[in-house]
Amino acid sequence: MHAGRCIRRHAVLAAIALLMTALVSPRQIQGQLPSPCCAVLAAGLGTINSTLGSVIGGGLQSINTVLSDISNFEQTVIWPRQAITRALGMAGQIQGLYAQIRGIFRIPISSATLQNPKQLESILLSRNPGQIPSTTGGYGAVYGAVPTPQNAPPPVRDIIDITDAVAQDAMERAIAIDAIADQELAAADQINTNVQSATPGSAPIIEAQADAWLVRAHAYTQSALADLMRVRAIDLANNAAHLKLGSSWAVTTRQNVTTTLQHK
Amino acid sequence: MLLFTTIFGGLMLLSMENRRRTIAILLIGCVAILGVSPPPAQAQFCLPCVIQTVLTTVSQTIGNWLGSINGVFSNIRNLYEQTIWSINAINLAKAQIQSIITQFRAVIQRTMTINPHTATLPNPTALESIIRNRATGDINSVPQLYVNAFRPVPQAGAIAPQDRDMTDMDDALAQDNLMMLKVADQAQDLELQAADQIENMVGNSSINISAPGSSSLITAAAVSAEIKSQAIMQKMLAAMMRQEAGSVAHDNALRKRTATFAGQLQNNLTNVLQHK
Repeated sequence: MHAGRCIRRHAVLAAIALLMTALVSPRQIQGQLPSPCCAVLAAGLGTINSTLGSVIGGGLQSINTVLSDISNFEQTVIWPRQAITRALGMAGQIQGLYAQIRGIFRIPISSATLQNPKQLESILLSRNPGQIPSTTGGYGAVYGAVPTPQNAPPPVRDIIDITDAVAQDAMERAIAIDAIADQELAAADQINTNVQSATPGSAPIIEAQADAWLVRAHAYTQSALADLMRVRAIDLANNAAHLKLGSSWAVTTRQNVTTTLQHK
Repeated sequence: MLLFTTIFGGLMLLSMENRRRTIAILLIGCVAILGVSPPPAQAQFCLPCVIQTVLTTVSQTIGNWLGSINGVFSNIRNLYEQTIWSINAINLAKAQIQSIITQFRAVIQRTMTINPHTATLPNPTALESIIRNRATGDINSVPQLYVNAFRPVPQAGAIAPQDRDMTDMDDALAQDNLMMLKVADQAQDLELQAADQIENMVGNSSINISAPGSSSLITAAAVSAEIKSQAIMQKMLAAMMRQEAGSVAHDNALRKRTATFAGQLQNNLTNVLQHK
Protein backbone atom coordinates (compact mmCIF):
# COMPACT_ATOMS: atom_id res chain seq x y z
CA MET A 1 0.00 0.00 0.00
CA HIS A 2 2.81 2.28 0.94
CA ALA A 3 4.77 1.44 -2.20
CA GLY A 4 1.74 1.93 -4.37
CA ARG A 5 1.11 5.30 -2.76
CA CYS A 6 4.74 6.24 -3.25
CA ILE A 7 4.65 5.28 -6.92
CA ARG A 8 1.40 7.14 -7.43
CA ARG A 9 2.94 10.22 -5.79
CA HIS A 10 6.14 10.10 -7.91
CA ALA A 11 4.62 8.75 -11.14
CA VAL A 12 5.59 11.81 -13.15
CA LEU A 13 9.19 11.64 -11.96
CA ALA A 14 9.23 7.93 -12.79
CA ALA A 15 7.88 8.65 -16.22
CA ILE A 16 10.55 11.31 -16.82
CA ALA A 17 13.24 8.93 -15.61
CA LEU A 18 11.90 6.26 -17.91
CA LEU A 19 11.91 8.72 -20.81
CA MET A 20 15.51 9.71 -20.19
CA THR A 21 16.47 6.04 -19.95
CA ALA A 22 14.78 5.34 -23.24
CA LEU A 23 16.45 8.28 -24.96
CA VAL A 24 19.99 7.60 -23.75
CA SER A 25 19.92 3.81 -24.14
CA PRO A 26 22.05 2.60 -27.10
CA ARG A 27 20.35 1.59 -30.31
CA GLN A 28 20.83 -1.72 -32.00
CA ILE A 29 23.28 -1.58 -34.90
CA GLN A 30 24.17 -4.12 -37.55
CA GLY A 31 27.28 -6.08 -36.77
CA GLN A 32 30.46 -6.37 -38.87
CA LEU A 33 29.92 -9.99 -39.67
CA PRO A 34 29.71 -10.86 -43.49
CA SER A 35 26.23 -10.45 -44.81
CA PRO A 36 24.78 -12.97 -47.28
CA CYS A 37 23.99 -9.93 -49.43
CA CYS A 38 27.71 -9.30 -50.16
CA ALA A 39 28.23 -12.82 -51.44
CA VAL A 40 25.34 -12.43 -53.85
CA LEU A 41 26.74 -9.06 -54.97
CA ALA A 42 30.22 -10.53 -55.55
CA ALA A 43 28.83 -13.43 -57.53
CA GLY A 44 26.63 -11.04 -59.54
CA LEU A 45 29.49 -8.69 -60.33
CA GLY A 46 31.64 -11.64 -61.40
CA THR A 47 28.93 -12.80 -63.74
CA ILE A 48 28.50 -9.27 -65.11
CA ASN A 49 32.26 -9.10 -65.68
CA SER A 50 32.38 -12.38 -67.57
CA THR A 51 29.28 -11.41 -69.55
CA LEU A 52 30.83 -8.06 -70.49
CA GLY A 53 33.98 -9.87 -71.58
CA SER A 54 32.20 -12.46 -73.67
CA VAL A 55 29.22 -10.57 -75.05
CA ILE A 56 30.52 -6.99 -75.49
CA GLY A 57 34.21 -7.82 -75.84
CA GLY A 58 33.48 -10.65 -78.27
CA GLY A 59 31.06 -8.50 -80.24
CA LEU A 60 33.50 -5.61 -80.48
CA GLN A 61 36.27 -7.99 -81.54
CA SER A 62 34.08 -9.33 -84.35
CA ILE A 63 33.29 -5.80 -85.46
CA ASN A 64 36.97 -4.93 -85.34
CA THR A 65 37.79 -7.96 -87.47
CA VAL A 66 35.22 -6.98 -90.10
CA LEU A 67 36.33 -3.34 -90.10
CA SER A 68 39.96 -4.43 -90.44
CA ASP A 69 38.98 -6.61 -93.41
CA ILE A 70 37.15 -3.68 -95.00
CA SER A 71 40.09 -1.34 -94.37
CA ASN A 72 42.53 -3.84 -95.82
CA PHE A 73 40.31 -4.43 -98.84
CA GLU A 74 39.98 -0.70 -99.48
CA GLN A 75 43.73 -0.16 -99.21
CA THR A 76 44.82 -3.09 -101.34
CA VAL A 77 42.02 -3.53 -103.88
CA ILE A 78 39.99 -0.36 -104.22
CA TRP A 79 42.42 2.47 -103.54
CA PRO A 80 45.99 1.06 -103.53
CA ARG A 81 48.49 3.87 -102.98
CA GLN A 82 50.72 2.71 -105.86
CA ALA A 83 47.82 2.71 -108.34
CA ILE A 84 46.84 6.22 -107.30
CA THR A 85 50.42 7.42 -107.71
CA ARG A 86 50.62 5.85 -111.16
CA ALA A 87 47.30 7.40 -112.21
CA LEU A 88 48.58 10.83 -111.15
CA GLY A 89 51.73 10.13 -113.17
CA MET A 90 49.57 9.23 -116.17
CA ALA A 91 47.84 12.61 -115.95
CA GLY A 92 51.28 14.21 -116.12
CA GLN A 93 52.27 12.12 -119.15
CA ILE A 94 49.09 13.10 -121.01
CA GLN A 95 49.79 16.74 -120.25
CA GLY A 96 53.27 16.26 -121.70
CA LEU A 97 51.87 14.85 -124.94
CA TYR A 98 49.42 17.72 -125.32
CA ALA A 99 52.16 20.23 -124.55
CA GLN A 100 53.93 18.85 -127.64
CA ILE A 101 50.72 19.26 -129.64
CA ARG A 102 50.36 22.87 -128.49
CA GLY A 103 53.95 23.44 -129.51
CA ILE A 104 53.52 22.13 -133.03
CA PHE A 105 50.36 24.15 -133.50
CA ARG A 106 52.47 27.25 -132.91
CA ILE A 107 54.65 26.53 -135.97
CA PRO A 108 54.06 29.51 -138.32
CA ILE A 109 52.34 28.48 -141.53
CA SER A 110 51.87 31.74 -143.43
CA SER A 111 52.81 31.57 -147.11
CA ALA A 112 51.28 34.50 -149.01
CA THR A 113 53.80 36.56 -150.99
CA LEU A 114 52.01 39.73 -152.17
CA GLN A 115 51.06 42.65 -149.96
CA ASN A 116 47.26 42.38 -149.94
CA PRO A 117 47.10 38.60 -149.58
CA LYS A 118 49.80 38.78 -146.87
CA GLN A 119 47.78 41.28 -144.89
CA LEU A 120 44.59 39.22 -145.15
CA GLU A 121 46.44 36.01 -144.34
CA SER A 122 48.03 37.51 -141.23
CA ILE A 123 44.60 38.59 -140.00
CA LEU A 124 43.11 35.16 -140.69
CA LEU A 125 45.93 33.27 -138.94
CA SER A 126 46.23 35.73 -136.04
CA ARG A 127 44.05 33.72 -133.57
CA ASN A 128 43.31 37.17 -132.16
CA PRO A 129 39.64 38.27 -131.94
CA GLY A 130 40.89 41.87 -131.81
CA GLN A 131 41.83 41.52 -135.47
CA ILE A 132 38.31 40.53 -136.57
CA PRO A 133 37.24 44.12 -137.46
CA SER A 134 40.21 44.34 -139.86
CA THR A 135 38.95 41.41 -141.90
CA THR A 136 36.59 43.49 -144.03
CA GLY A 137 39.37 45.78 -145.24
CA GLY A 138 41.75 42.94 -145.98
CA TYR A 139 39.02 40.96 -147.73
CA GLY A 140 38.01 43.92 -149.90
CA ALA A 141 41.63 44.53 -150.90
CA VAL A 142 42.00 41.00 -152.25
CA TYR A 143 38.52 40.11 -153.52
CA GLY A 144 37.18 43.55 -154.49
CA ALA A 145 33.97 45.35 -153.60
CA VAL A 146 30.35 44.82 -154.64
CA PRO A 147 29.89 46.30 -158.18
CA THR A 148 28.16 49.65 -158.45
CA PRO A 149 24.50 49.73 -159.58
CA GLN A 150 25.67 50.99 -162.98
CA ASN A 151 27.85 47.94 -163.47
CA ALA A 152 25.58 45.15 -162.26
CA PRO A 153 21.83 44.50 -162.09
CA PRO A 154 20.24 44.26 -158.60
CA PRO A 155 19.95 40.42 -158.57
CA VAL A 156 23.64 40.04 -159.30
CA ARG A 157 24.60 42.68 -156.71
CA ASP A 158 22.46 40.87 -154.14
CA ILE A 159 24.10 37.54 -154.83
CA ILE A 160 27.57 39.05 -154.75
CA ASP A 161 26.88 40.87 -151.50
CA ILE A 162 25.45 37.87 -149.63
CA THR A 163 28.29 35.69 -150.88
CA ASP A 164 30.89 38.21 -149.71
CA ALA A 165 29.09 38.48 -146.38
CA VAL A 166 29.06 34.75 -145.75
CA ALA A 167 32.70 34.36 -146.84
CA GLN A 168 33.78 37.21 -144.54
CA ASP A 169 31.63 35.90 -141.70
CA ALA A 170 33.28 32.50 -142.03
CA MET A 171 36.74 34.07 -142.02
CA GLU A 172 35.91 36.11 -138.93
CA ARG A 173 34.37 33.11 -137.22
CA ALA A 174 37.48 31.08 -138.08
CA ILE A 175 39.60 33.65 -136.19
CA ALA A 176 37.21 33.41 -133.20
CA ILE A 177 37.19 29.60 -133.23
CA ASP A 178 41.00 29.54 -133.34
CA ALA A 179 41.12 31.84 -130.32
CA ILE A 180 38.50 29.78 -128.48
CA ALA A 181 40.45 26.61 -129.21
CA ASP A 182 43.56 28.21 -127.65
CA GLN A 183 41.53 29.12 -124.55
CA GLU A 184 40.18 25.58 -124.33
CA LEU A 185 43.68 24.14 -124.58
CA ALA A 186 44.80 26.42 -121.73
CA ALA A 187 41.76 25.52 -119.60
CA ALA A 188 42.28 21.81 -120.25
CA ASP A 189 45.92 22.23 -119.21
CA GLN A 190 44.81 23.75 -115.92
CA ILE A 191 42.28 20.97 -115.38
CA ASN A 192 44.99 18.41 -116.05
CA THR A 193 47.27 20.15 -113.55
CA ASN A 194 44.43 20.05 -111.02
CA VAL A 195 44.02 16.31 -111.62
CA GLN A 196 47.66 15.81 -110.69
CA SER A 197 46.99 17.15 -107.19
CA ALA A 198 43.63 15.40 -106.80
CA THR A 199 42.62 12.34 -104.84
CA PRO A 200 40.28 9.55 -105.93
CA GLY A 201 37.55 11.28 -103.93
CA SER A 202 38.06 14.74 -105.41
CA ALA A 203 38.80 13.58 -108.97
CA PRO A 204 35.11 13.14 -109.89
CA ILE A 205 34.55 16.82 -109.00
CA ILE A 206 37.33 17.85 -111.38
CA GLU A 207 36.00 15.39 -113.93
CA ALA A 208 32.57 17.00 -113.67
CA GLN A 209 34.11 20.37 -114.52
CA ALA A 210 36.06 18.79 -117.36
CA ASP A 211 32.83 17.26 -118.65
CA ALA A 212 31.23 20.70 -118.61
CA TRP A 213 34.16 22.02 -120.63
CA LEU A 214 33.79 19.11 -123.01
CA VAL A 215 30.13 19.93 -123.57
CA ARG A 216 31.17 23.55 -124.20
CA ALA A 217 33.87 22.42 -126.62
CA HIS A 218 31.36 20.29 -128.52
CA ALA A 219 29.11 23.35 -128.80
CA TYR A 220 31.94 25.41 -130.30
CA THR A 221 32.82 22.59 -132.68
CA GLN A 222 29.20 22.51 -133.79
CA SER A 223 29.30 26.28 -134.18
CA ALA A 224 32.32 25.98 -136.47
CA LEU A 225 30.64 23.20 -138.40
CA ALA A 226 27.53 25.38 -138.74
CA ASP A 227 29.55 28.21 -140.25
CA LEU A 228 31.20 25.80 -142.62
CA MET A 229 27.79 24.52 -143.66
CA ARG A 230 26.65 28.10 -144.26
CA VAL A 231 29.57 28.67 -146.62
CA ARG A 232 28.81 25.43 -148.46
CA ALA A 233 25.12 26.32 -148.64
CA ILE A 234 25.92 29.70 -150.17
CA ASP A 235 28.22 28.01 -152.65
CA LEU A 236 25.39 25.71 -153.67
CA ALA A 237 22.98 28.63 -153.80
CA ASN A 238 25.38 30.44 -156.12
CA ASN A 239 25.39 27.49 -158.49
CA ALA A 240 21.61 27.55 -158.56
CA ALA A 241 21.55 31.32 -158.98
CA HIS A 242 23.96 31.00 -161.88
CA LEU A 243 21.45 28.76 -163.69
CA LYS A 244 18.52 31.01 -162.79
CA LEU A 245 20.21 34.18 -164.02
CA GLY A 246 21.51 32.38 -167.11
CA SER A 247 18.04 31.21 -168.10
CA SER A 248 16.61 34.66 -167.42
CA TRP A 249 19.26 36.29 -169.57
CA ALA A 250 18.71 33.67 -172.31
CA VAL A 251 15.00 34.48 -172.41
CA THR A 252 15.71 38.21 -172.53
CA THR A 253 18.29 37.78 -175.28
CA ARG A 254 15.89 35.64 -177.34
CA GLN A 255 13.21 38.27 -176.99
CA ASN A 256 15.64 41.02 -177.97
CA VAL A 257 16.83 39.07 -181.01
CA THR A 258 13.23 38.36 -182.05
CA THR A 259 12.34 42.02 -181.66
CA THR A 260 15.36 43.09 -183.70
CA LEU A 261 14.56 40.64 -186.49
CA GLN A 262 10.93 41.80 -186.58
CA HIS A 263 12.10 45.43 -186.97
CA LYS A 264 14.18 44.42 -189.98
CA MET B 1 8.60 -0.52 -27.23
CA LEU B 2 5.94 -2.85 -25.86
CA LEU B 3 7.71 -2.67 -22.51
CA PHE B 4 7.65 1.11 -22.50
CA THR B 5 3.99 1.16 -23.42
CA THR B 6 3.15 -1.27 -20.63
CA ILE B 7 5.11 0.72 -18.03
CA PHE B 8 3.57 4.03 -19.05
CA GLY B 9 0.15 2.37 -19.16
CA GLY B 10 0.71 1.11 -15.59
CA LEU B 11 1.84 4.55 -14.41
CA MET B 12 -1.25 6.11 -15.95
CA LEU B 13 -3.49 3.56 -14.20
CA LEU B 14 -1.80 4.35 -10.92
CA SER B 15 -2.31 8.05 -11.48
CA MET B 16 -5.91 7.87 -12.61
CA GLU B 17 -7.08 9.76 -9.59
CA ASN B 18 -5.19 12.84 -10.54
CA ARG B 19 -6.21 14.02 -13.93
CA ARG B 20 -3.35 16.41 -14.40
CA ARG B 21 -0.81 13.77 -13.51
CA THR B 22 -2.40 11.30 -15.88
CA ILE B 23 -2.14 13.80 -18.72
CA ALA B 24 1.48 14.55 -17.85
CA ILE B 25 2.38 10.84 -17.86
CA LEU B 26 0.48 10.41 -21.11
CA LEU B 27 2.45 13.19 -22.75
CA ILE B 28 5.80 11.93 -21.42
CA GLY B 29 4.87 8.41 -22.53
CA CYS B 30 4.07 9.62 -26.00
CA VAL B 31 7.43 11.43 -26.22
CA ALA B 32 9.25 8.34 -24.91
CA ILE B 33 7.51 6.00 -27.32
CA LEU B 34 8.25 8.35 -30.17
CA GLY B 35 11.88 8.45 -29.05
CA VAL B 36 12.37 4.69 -28.90
CA SER B 37 10.16 3.80 -31.85
CA PRO B 38 12.25 2.37 -34.73
CA PRO B 39 12.60 4.41 -37.90
CA PRO B 40 10.30 3.45 -40.69
CA ALA B 41 11.41 0.21 -42.24
CA GLN B 42 13.15 0.55 -45.62
CA ALA B 43 11.67 -1.42 -48.50
CA GLN B 44 13.31 -4.75 -49.34
CA PHE B 45 16.33 -4.40 -51.84
CA CYS B 46 16.48 -7.48 -54.15
CA LEU B 47 20.16 -7.59 -55.23
CA PRO B 48 19.94 -10.79 -57.31
CA CYS B 49 17.05 -9.24 -59.22
CA VAL B 50 19.12 -6.14 -60.02
CA ILE B 51 22.11 -8.21 -61.11
CA GLN B 52 19.89 -10.35 -63.27
CA THR B 53 18.45 -7.21 -64.88
CA VAL B 54 21.95 -5.90 -65.62
CA LEU B 55 22.96 -9.27 -67.05
CA THR B 56 19.88 -9.36 -69.21
CA THR B 57 20.60 -5.83 -70.46
CA VAL B 58 24.23 -6.69 -71.23
CA SER B 59 23.64 -10.04 -72.86
CA GLN B 60 20.40 -9.35 -74.68
CA THR B 61 20.09 -5.63 -75.39
CA ILE B 62 23.75 -4.65 -75.87
CA GLY B 63 24.70 -8.10 -77.15
CA ASN B 64 21.93 -8.01 -79.71
CA TRP B 65 22.88 -4.50 -80.79
CA LEU B 66 26.52 -5.48 -81.21
CA GLY B 67 25.37 -8.52 -83.16
CA SER B 68 23.28 -6.29 -85.40
CA ILE B 69 26.15 -3.83 -85.93
CA ASN B 70 28.47 -6.68 -86.73
CA GLY B 71 25.89 -8.00 -89.16
CA VAL B 72 25.65 -4.62 -90.90
CA PHE B 73 29.44 -4.33 -91.19
CA SER B 74 29.63 -7.88 -92.50
CA ASN B 75 26.99 -7.03 -95.08
CA ILE B 76 28.96 -3.92 -96.10
CA ARG B 77 32.10 -6.02 -96.43
CA ASN B 78 30.26 -8.59 -98.50
CA LEU B 79 28.74 -5.83 -100.63
CA TYR B 80 32.19 -4.33 -101.24
CA GLU B 81 33.94 -7.62 -101.89
CA GLN B 82 31.26 -9.47 -103.79
CA THR B 83 29.05 -6.91 -105.48
CA ILE B 84 30.66 -3.49 -105.95
CA TRP B 85 34.37 -4.23 -106.17
CA SER B 86 34.39 -7.94 -106.72
CA ILE B 87 37.91 -9.05 -107.55
CA ASN B 88 36.48 -11.31 -110.22
CA ALA B 89 34.59 -8.42 -111.80
CA ILE B 90 37.67 -6.19 -111.67
CA ASN B 91 39.80 -8.86 -113.29
CA LEU B 92 37.07 -9.55 -115.84
CA ALA B 93 36.88 -5.86 -116.78
CA LYS B 94 40.64 -5.74 -117.23
CA ALA B 95 40.56 -8.92 -119.30
CA GLN B 96 37.83 -7.40 -121.46
CA ILE B 97 39.94 -4.26 -121.95
CA GLN B 98 42.90 -6.41 -122.98
CA SER B 99 40.65 -8.35 -125.32
CA ILE B 100 39.43 -5.17 -127.01
CA ILE B 101 43.03 -3.94 -127.28
CA THR B 102 44.07 -7.20 -128.92
CA GLN B 103 41.03 -7.29 -131.16
CA PHE B 104 41.06 -3.75 -132.51
CA ARG B 105 44.21 -1.78 -131.89
CA ALA B 106 46.59 -3.56 -134.22
CA VAL B 107 43.96 -3.77 -136.96
CA ILE B 108 43.31 -0.03 -136.80
CA GLN B 109 47.01 0.77 -136.66
CA ARG B 110 47.65 -1.42 -139.70
CA THR B 111 44.79 0.26 -141.53
CA MET B 112 46.18 3.70 -140.79
CA THR B 113 49.63 2.74 -142.07
CA ILE B 114 48.11 2.47 -145.53
CA ASN B 115 49.29 5.81 -146.85
CA PRO B 116 48.19 6.35 -150.42
CA HIS B 117 50.83 7.68 -152.78
CA THR B 118 49.44 7.91 -156.29
CA ALA B 119 51.26 10.78 -157.95
CA THR B 120 53.52 9.74 -160.82
CA LEU B 121 55.55 12.79 -161.85
CA PRO B 122 58.50 14.12 -159.81
CA ASN B 123 57.03 17.41 -158.59
CA PRO B 124 53.60 16.03 -157.67
CA THR B 125 55.25 13.00 -156.07
CA ALA B 126 57.44 15.23 -153.92
CA LEU B 127 54.49 17.35 -152.84
CA GLU B 128 52.29 14.33 -152.17
CA SER B 129 55.05 12.78 -150.11
CA ILE B 130 55.61 15.83 -147.92
CA ILE B 131 51.94 16.53 -147.29
CA ARG B 132 51.32 12.95 -146.22
CA ASN B 133 54.37 12.16 -144.10
CA ARG B 134 52.71 13.14 -140.78
CA ALA B 135 55.79 15.07 -139.67
CA THR B 136 56.37 18.74 -138.95
CA GLY B 137 60.16 18.89 -139.19
CA ASP B 138 60.00 19.59 -142.93
CA ILE B 139 57.00 21.92 -142.81
CA ASN B 140 58.95 24.86 -144.25
CA SER B 141 59.62 22.89 -147.45
CA VAL B 142 55.92 22.75 -148.30
CA PRO B 143 55.70 26.19 -150.03
CA GLN B 144 58.53 25.39 -152.45
CA LEU B 145 57.19 21.93 -153.32
CA TYR B 146 53.74 23.46 -153.70
CA VAL B 147 55.10 26.04 -156.13
CA ASN B 148 56.93 23.30 -158.03
CA ALA B 149 53.68 21.45 -158.53
CA PHE B 150 51.25 24.36 -158.97
CA ARG B 151 53.65 26.99 -160.35
CA PRO B 152 54.35 30.39 -158.82
CA VAL B 153 52.15 33.46 -158.92
CA PRO B 154 52.69 35.18 -162.32
CA GLN B 155 54.94 38.21 -162.39
CA ALA B 156 53.34 41.62 -162.28
CA GLY B 157 52.31 42.64 -165.79
CA ALA B 158 51.69 39.07 -166.86
CA ILE B 159 48.32 38.96 -165.13
CA ALA B 160 45.74 41.46 -163.93
CA PRO B 161 46.60 42.81 -160.47
CA GLN B 162 43.39 41.54 -158.89
CA ASP B 163 43.90 38.12 -160.42
CA ARG B 164 47.44 38.14 -159.12
CA ASP B 165 46.25 38.97 -155.61
CA MET B 166 43.54 36.33 -155.74
CA THR B 167 45.92 33.72 -157.06
CA ASP B 168 48.37 34.46 -154.27
CA MET B 169 45.57 34.35 -151.69
CA ASP B 170 44.25 31.04 -153.06
CA ASP B 171 47.76 29.60 -152.99
CA ALA B 172 48.32 30.91 -149.45
CA LEU B 173 45.10 29.42 -148.12
CA ALA B 174 45.81 26.09 -149.79
CA GLN B 175 49.44 25.98 -148.61
CA ASP B 176 48.50 27.10 -145.09
CA ASN B 177 46.04 24.27 -144.85
CA LEU B 178 48.47 21.73 -146.25
CA MET B 179 50.97 22.79 -143.57
CA MET B 180 48.24 22.89 -140.94
CA LEU B 181 47.28 19.33 -141.88
CA LYS B 182 50.85 18.15 -141.30
CA VAL B 183 50.58 19.65 -137.81
CA ALA B 184 47.16 18.03 -137.34
CA ASP B 185 48.49 14.66 -138.53
CA GLN B 186 51.26 14.76 -135.94
CA ALA B 187 48.80 15.90 -133.29
CA GLN B 188 46.59 12.94 -134.13
CA ASP B 189 49.52 10.57 -133.70
CA LEU B 190 50.23 12.05 -130.27
CA GLU B 191 46.53 11.81 -129.36
CA LEU B 192 46.61 8.14 -130.37
CA GLN B 193 49.63 7.67 -128.10
CA ALA B 194 47.71 9.26 -125.23
CA ALA B 195 44.71 7.03 -125.88
CA ASP B 196 46.95 3.93 -126.00
CA GLN B 197 48.64 4.89 -122.73
CA ILE B 198 45.30 5.44 -120.99
CA GLU B 199 43.93 2.15 -122.27
CA ASN B 200 47.10 0.24 -121.37
CA MET B 201 47.03 1.60 -117.85
CA VAL B 202 43.38 0.88 -117.09
CA GLY B 203 43.71 -2.60 -118.58
CA ASN B 204 46.85 -3.48 -116.61
CA SER B 205 46.28 -6.68 -114.65
CA SER B 206 48.16 -5.46 -111.54
CA ILE B 207 45.92 -3.98 -108.88
CA ASN B 208 48.84 -1.70 -107.95
CA ILE B 209 48.71 -0.09 -111.40
CA SER B 210 45.00 -0.03 -112.16
CA ALA B 211 42.43 -0.11 -109.38
CA PRO B 212 38.80 0.97 -109.21
CA GLY B 213 39.77 3.87 -106.97
CA SER B 214 42.47 5.21 -109.29
CA SER B 215 40.31 5.09 -112.42
CA SER B 216 38.51 8.32 -111.45
CA LEU B 217 41.85 10.14 -111.71
CA ILE B 218 42.57 8.57 -115.10
CA THR B 219 39.06 9.41 -116.27
CA ALA B 220 39.48 13.05 -115.24
CA ALA B 221 42.78 13.22 -117.11
CA ALA B 222 41.16 11.55 -120.14
CA VAL B 223 38.31 14.06 -120.16
CA SER B 224 40.80 16.94 -120.11
CA ALA B 225 42.49 15.27 -123.09
CA GLU B 226 39.10 15.11 -124.81
CA ILE B 227 38.69 18.86 -124.41
CA LYS B 228 42.06 19.34 -126.06
CA SER B 229 41.10 16.99 -128.88
CA GLN B 230 37.96 19.05 -129.42
CA ALA B 231 40.09 22.20 -129.51
CA ILE B 232 42.28 20.62 -132.20
CA MET B 233 39.15 19.64 -134.11
CA GLN B 234 38.01 23.25 -133.92
CA LYS B 235 41.34 24.45 -135.27
CA MET B 236 40.95 22.09 -138.22
CA LEU B 237 37.39 23.27 -138.80
CA ALA B 238 38.56 26.88 -138.61
CA ALA B 239 41.18 26.12 -141.27
CA MET B 240 38.55 24.47 -143.44
CA MET B 241 36.29 27.49 -142.99
CA ARG B 242 39.09 29.79 -144.15
CA GLN B 243 39.64 27.60 -147.18
CA GLU B 244 35.96 27.34 -148.10
CA ALA B 245 35.44 31.05 -147.51
CA GLY B 246 38.42 31.79 -149.74
CA SER B 247 37.01 29.55 -152.44
CA VAL B 248 33.59 31.22 -152.30
CA ALA B 249 35.21 34.66 -152.21
CA HIS B 250 37.25 33.78 -155.29
CA ASP B 251 34.14 32.70 -157.21
CA ASN B 252 32.38 35.81 -156.06
CA ALA B 253 35.25 38.01 -157.21
CA LEU B 254 34.95 36.47 -160.67
CA ARG B 255 31.23 37.17 -160.54
CA LYS B 256 31.93 40.78 -159.65
CA ARG B 257 34.31 41.10 -162.53
CA THR B 258 31.92 39.45 -164.98
CA ALA B 259 29.18 41.80 -163.84
CA THR B 260 31.47 44.76 -164.22
CA PHE B 261 32.61 43.64 -167.67
CA ALA B 262 29.00 43.03 -168.71
CA GLY B 263 28.04 46.51 -167.50
CA GLN B 264 30.97 48.06 -169.32
CA LEU B 265 30.17 46.10 -172.49
CA GLN B 266 26.57 47.23 -172.33
CA ASN B 267 27.66 50.85 -171.93
CA ASN B 268 30.13 50.53 -174.79
CA LEU B 269 27.55 48.99 -177.11
CA THR B 270 25.08 51.67 -176.22
CA ASN B 271 27.68 54.33 -177.00
CA VAL B 272 28.54 52.71 -180.34
CA LEU B 273 24.88 52.47 -181.36
CA GLN B 274 24.26 56.06 -180.31
CA HIS B 275 27.20 57.25 -182.45
CA LYS B 276 25.71 55.46 -185.45
